[in-house]
Amino acid sequence: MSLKAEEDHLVAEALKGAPYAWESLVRRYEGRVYNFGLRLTGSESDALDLMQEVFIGVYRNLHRFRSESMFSTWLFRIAHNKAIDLMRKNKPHLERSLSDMEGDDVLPPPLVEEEQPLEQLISKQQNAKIRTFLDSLSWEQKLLVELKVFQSHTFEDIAELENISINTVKTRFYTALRKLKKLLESSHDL
Amino acid sequence: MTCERSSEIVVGLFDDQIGKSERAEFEVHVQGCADCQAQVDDARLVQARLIAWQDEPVPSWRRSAMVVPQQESVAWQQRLAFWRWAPLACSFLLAVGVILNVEFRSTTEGFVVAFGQSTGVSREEVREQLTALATSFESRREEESLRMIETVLGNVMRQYDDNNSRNLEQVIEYFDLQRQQDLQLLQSGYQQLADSDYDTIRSVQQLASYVQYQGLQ
Repeated sequence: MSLKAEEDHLVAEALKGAPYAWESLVRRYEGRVYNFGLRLTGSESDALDLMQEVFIGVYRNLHRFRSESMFSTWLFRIAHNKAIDLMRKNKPHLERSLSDMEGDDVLPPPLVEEEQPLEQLISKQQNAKIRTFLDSLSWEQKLLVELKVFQSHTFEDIAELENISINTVKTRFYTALRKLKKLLESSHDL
Repeated sequence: MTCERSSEIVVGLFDDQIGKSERAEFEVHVQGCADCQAQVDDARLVQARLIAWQDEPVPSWRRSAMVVPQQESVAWQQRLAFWRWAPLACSFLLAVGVILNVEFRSTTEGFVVAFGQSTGVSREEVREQLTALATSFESRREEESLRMIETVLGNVMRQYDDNNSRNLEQVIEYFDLQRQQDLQLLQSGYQQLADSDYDTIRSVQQLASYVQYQGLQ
């Protein structure tokens, strides 16, 4: 059974009220959604809130899912919308507009290290640096980098999702890359 | 010196939808353009730096937390959805009942549901019942009348003739006598009333005279 057929089956079973099917779908995507939220919000509690909101949205709209598209594509469309809702409505302090970011090359202070296993600590430190770099981008740029680099969406998909032209998407992406490169240089991390 | 095609070339690296020939053309350009080469290298480094992200474990959470409340709410919505159509369904049934002329009757044999126009049988039954009731009423009235006449005649016969020689003339004579007695009683009653009125008038006149007399003194 292909991945799509398997997921379509799980969706059908979850719609019938089978708890195992729903849990199986959640377990498949919770990690991706949580880390998506972690990179976007930069906060574990916000990422957890976002993930829960996403899965509540997915569950409530499960009957609207059409098997013409991939379940993951449909799920991340909801995740994208929930992330925008979270940033614009519940967490306005997290949103930084493009105008706010002009000439802003100063890196935020490093995160405080906690007592954790070494591998996990290294991994967390690495992620923390990446989050710091991402946090220096505007909300629009950060979401764009997330969709392109981490979610591997095409420019066309992103344009449709963001309701902007492909050229605007490409221009914003290029600007974001230049900004990240500049920040990496300034932190001597290249 | 900055190449004008830098942005196009760098973004093209991340574009999965460009054709092979276009990609090959980009690569040829990058090999010959130091500025584009530097920017492509930078972009690849940034990309490598970002995708070094290690997925962090998801904190424990209730994965089915949203399942139960929604099942309950769906159940409630289904119940409400059903009752929302109830008035319309009742109206529809009523309309069907009117159109098909559905008739519900309770008879001595039980509850009867009839469709279409009322049958002739039921109307006939009603007519028969009414006729029977009227006949019964009439016969009862006749019986009562006969009983009354017999009673009256019995009384008359006992007063005037205990013998077997009862005849109609005696009955008529009795009735005539009774009528005359009634008339006499009526006349005497009127006379008493008239006398009483006359006495009253005379008493009033006497009272008036007395009062007048007292007034003169």
